[in-house]
Amino acid sequence: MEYWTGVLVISGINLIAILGVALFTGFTGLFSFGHGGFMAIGAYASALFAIRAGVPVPLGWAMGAVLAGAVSVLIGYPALRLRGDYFVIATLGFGETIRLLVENSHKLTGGARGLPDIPPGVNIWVVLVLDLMAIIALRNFIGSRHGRNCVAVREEETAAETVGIDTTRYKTIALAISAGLAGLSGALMASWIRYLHPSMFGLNKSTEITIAVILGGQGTLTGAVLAAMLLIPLPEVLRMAQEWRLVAYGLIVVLISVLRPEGLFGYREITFEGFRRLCRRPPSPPSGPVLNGEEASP
Amino acid sequence: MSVVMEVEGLSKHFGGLVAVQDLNLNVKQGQVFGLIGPNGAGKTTVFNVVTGIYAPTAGRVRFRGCEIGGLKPHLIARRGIARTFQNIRLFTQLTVFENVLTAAQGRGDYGIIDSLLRTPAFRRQDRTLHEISRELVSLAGLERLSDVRARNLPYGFQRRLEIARALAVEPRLLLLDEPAAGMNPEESIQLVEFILQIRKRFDLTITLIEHHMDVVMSICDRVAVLNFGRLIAEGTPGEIQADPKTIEAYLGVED
Amino acid sequence: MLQQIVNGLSIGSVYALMAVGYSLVYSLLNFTNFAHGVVVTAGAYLAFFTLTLVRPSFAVALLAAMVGGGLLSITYEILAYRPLLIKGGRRLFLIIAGLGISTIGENLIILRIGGRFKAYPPIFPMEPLHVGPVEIAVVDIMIVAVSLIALLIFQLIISRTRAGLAIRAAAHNLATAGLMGVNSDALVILVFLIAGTLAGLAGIFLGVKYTAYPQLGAMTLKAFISAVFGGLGSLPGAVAGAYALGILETFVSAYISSSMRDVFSFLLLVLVLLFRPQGLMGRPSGEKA
Repeated sequence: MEYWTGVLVISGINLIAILGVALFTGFTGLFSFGHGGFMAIGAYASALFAIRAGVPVPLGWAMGAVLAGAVSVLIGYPALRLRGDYFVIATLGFGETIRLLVENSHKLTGGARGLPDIPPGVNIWVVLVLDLMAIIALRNFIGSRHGRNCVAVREEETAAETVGIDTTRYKTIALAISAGLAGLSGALMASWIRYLHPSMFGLNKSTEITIAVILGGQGTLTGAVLAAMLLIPLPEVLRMAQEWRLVAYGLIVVLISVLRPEGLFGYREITFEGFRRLCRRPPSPPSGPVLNGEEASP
Repeated sequence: MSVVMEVEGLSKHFGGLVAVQDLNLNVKQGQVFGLIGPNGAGKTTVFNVVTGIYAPTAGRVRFRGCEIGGLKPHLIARRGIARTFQNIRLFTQLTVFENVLTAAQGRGDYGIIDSLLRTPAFRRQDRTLHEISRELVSLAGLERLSDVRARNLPYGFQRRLEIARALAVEPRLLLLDEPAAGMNPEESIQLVEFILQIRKRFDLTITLIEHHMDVVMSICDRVAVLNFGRLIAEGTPGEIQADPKTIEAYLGVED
Repeated sequence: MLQQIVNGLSIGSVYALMAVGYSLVYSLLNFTNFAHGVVVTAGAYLAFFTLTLVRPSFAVALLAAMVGGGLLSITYEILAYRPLLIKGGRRLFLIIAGLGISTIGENLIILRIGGRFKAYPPIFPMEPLHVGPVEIAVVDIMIVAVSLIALLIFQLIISRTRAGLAIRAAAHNLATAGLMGVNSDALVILVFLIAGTLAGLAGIFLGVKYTAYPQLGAMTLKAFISAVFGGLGSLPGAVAGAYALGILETFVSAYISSSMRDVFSFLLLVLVLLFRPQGLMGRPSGEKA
């Protein structure tokens, strides 16, 4: 029983980072292979605040999240002006730089030896509550003009500008929120595992998070949750070796990219509204592609 | 009549390529102003400079008396210039309604905290924005397709949607880049009616890039002809039709 | 100090081989081929097994690495990238697919061959040569020499052959080149073949210098950095950037600390991207709306 709780907690903690990247990648259309770096910032910051400065653990989490968000705005300011590929490489560079900096500051972070004895504070209820709060907050954000502006950035950045949207500002907002959530996730991880090592948040972690979002699909929180619940616990359950897990991730990613780019649940959500509508009357045919210039069904 | 948009000595170079050279134009309030010329004449470049996608290499751009050359596109849009694109840039995964709403919501100003907490300010504004968007969708004759994703719309309706989206920004000046492209004569007539309708309703000034000469002739008050980035003629549609330089630009010189 | 420059040339050559391949694909297809690393690693392992199981001949191993690299490169292009390109896939899905391939490759190697370092049998004399005030290891001479030859051949292909001309034309605009009668499918395969061959070559050199291990592919990050530093979209830039990076890294390693070497490289990347994204020799990018 405790084993299962542990699996759920880890999944729930990772989910927070995945939700953040869902906003960044799934809704705003920017890809990052460096969010592990933000998790690292949140993790080490909160752990060190708790250990060195005696900060109460929950406050430490908040501080870790805020710090990660702040750092993201700092590097985001110049980095977000970069076009497409350049930006992705920059995120990669960022993630790796953070990892290397942590590794090379043994006095502060324990470097490659790791940072042990982090004060606890996480249990399944904390994780569940935070997960729920994150989902609700993001859902509200996305359903507001801010969320829609982010989506416009994803869809057609130039057109978004011409309808009055400051795309750089919204990219920065999406980055800050996703970084903050990643930071929170890292902080929770630190308090749960109670041990930190720089390799925990390297390129593998960043890739894992992005893959989960891709699997879930663009423009869907539901998809992100589903993907997170599949990708994180499943390998645990199947007792997969770390390497097979990564092979599986790689395979998933290639298959999705080639065969089903919209992922599990792209551009759709399960909502209470939708569910009620479904129960009230017979399902209507989905609006599919239009043939020969005829009207699409409503 | 006051001048709404003015371009003075405008040049735009891309490295060695001269797209627009020393252009002078002015568009007066309420006019439908046509911009024609062979492909590659620089017409879309002019639009791109006016809407801030490019900064001018030289010269000035003025909107209602204010300099806007080099401003960022979203700031120019907020001042009241909206446009459509030659190769349609709709938000493809969004529905018809959402496309218009995304443009209309520039009028809202509730903050992120408001949206996270769903404050009364948020609810009130969002409701208004939804209403405004519904009206515009109706005006464009798209209400039955309101929940269809833009990518699934038939071509003609996509062009309409782009115009509706542009209108949502509350523009004083509307730039239409080949709105009749790919339309048959009947659709073109409907488009012309629609354009005249919105000009009247919203007191708009319209600048139009078009290749469909019938549309240009029937709707424009004045026409400017561009070739190789330079202005070669300007006048009423009738004058332009008879202008030898224009004819030469389109058809070449007779041997 | 001269010594450091000489040392840097060797690793710079390896970076150059990888950077050119990466830059070639980028120029043609406009995306970052994250699967490049897998080919490097494969080259290193192929060479290792050739040396230990087939023949302890460097030349044969070289051939194996190059051929293997080229073939592997074409294989994943056909299986993964081609379907995406045909569908007009968004560039970012190409990037992700590449990363997927790289992850699969790296971990399959760990699972099937083992995660431990595989040291190459000694092929070159261990005694360094003394040229003036400088010591040069024989292996480094080999690396620089063969790399330069390979780069030269590559340069000749690009500038003198029809295929090379096609590549240069297509680098400007793949669609237009297709309309002009260039078989763009064949061209893409050619480009991946060249990139893969060079990557395989880089792999064996890395294997000789550092031993073969599954994460070797991460060295291609240095290739990205080199290409960006020299200027994305410029092949001479990639080479220049690579040698510059190799030498600078060696300096950092020697005069600051070897653990700071990688930090330096990533910081360089970040700084270049922030302040001069077109690199040393690239042209500033401006998209037409």
